[in-house]
Amino acid sequence: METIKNTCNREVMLQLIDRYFEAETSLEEERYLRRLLVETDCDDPAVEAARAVMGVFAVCRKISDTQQLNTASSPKRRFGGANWAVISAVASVAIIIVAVVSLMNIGQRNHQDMLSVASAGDLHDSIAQLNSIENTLDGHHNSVVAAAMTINYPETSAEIDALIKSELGLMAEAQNSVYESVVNDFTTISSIMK
Amino acid sequence: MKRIISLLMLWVIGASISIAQDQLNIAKIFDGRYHDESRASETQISGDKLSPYSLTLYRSLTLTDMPEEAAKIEPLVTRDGAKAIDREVSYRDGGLYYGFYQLQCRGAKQCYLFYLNQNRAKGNKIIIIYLEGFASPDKIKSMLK
Repeated sequence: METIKNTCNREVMLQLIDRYFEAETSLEEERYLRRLLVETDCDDPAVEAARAVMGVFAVCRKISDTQQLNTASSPKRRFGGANWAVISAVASVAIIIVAVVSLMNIGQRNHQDMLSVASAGDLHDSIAQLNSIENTLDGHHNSVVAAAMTINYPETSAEIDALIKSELGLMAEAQNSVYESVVNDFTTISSIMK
Repeated sequence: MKRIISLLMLWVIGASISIAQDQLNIAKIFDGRYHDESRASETQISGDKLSPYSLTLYRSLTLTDMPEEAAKIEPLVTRDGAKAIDREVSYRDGGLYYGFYQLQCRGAKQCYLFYLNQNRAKGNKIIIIYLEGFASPDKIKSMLK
């Protein structure tokens, strides 16, 4: 009985060895074959060759597994829940700081006009340049010819009134002409409709 | 905790976008590009001097005999005007002739923009006026009379 069993195992083993060298065995089959090679006491050359090869691969696999274990035990592998908690806490603090800073900026900008907000930074605001010129001049000037452009800087209420009336007056003329053209259009339409 | 962080991140992103949108396109024409141009003139009035008009800021740019600048200025005006609460516009010869816009402004202030290109009506000036303050649209229109 034992001989038949041994013979069957040997045949199975030889089949598995053939398939192993043809790279047709699954992992389970390889494990089974390895067990058979260890348990059976066979002098067959194919079996000896398989023992030699699988023994080498087993050693190599053991070495690589050991290496993987070593790298797994490095700090990268140790990245656990505690580190993620620290990172999320730092990120949330950073977000809160950014939110507070942006709130402060909004509060500051509410006191600035929308043109100065946009002209901040590297842009050269003509009026800002005028202000800097004003600071270095003696006396008071209502307008400065900065380079070539004229910059008006009215101070008295009469000057302001005159300037606003002048410029808005031009707008008023344009608006009136627009309204006139609208009235003309409706007059034309009504005459056509009649 | 994750939900709070997500909400905070969304808030920060939204705040950044809103801050970016606060900037007016027409601010670019007040950046000193006409500094060396003798045919340009700028005016700025701010503070208590404008209290009779219920305004806090008056800023204008006038370009005389520079019709070519309209091609650069009109897109800026129309871009800001696209977001206006109210507008009155008139086009002539395929371009913007006159525009009055009540813009969206921060807080309780009102913002207004006037644009006029007289070159489209046998004139020679391009005028941009930006107003900021607490004057109502009716008060602004009454200033035109």
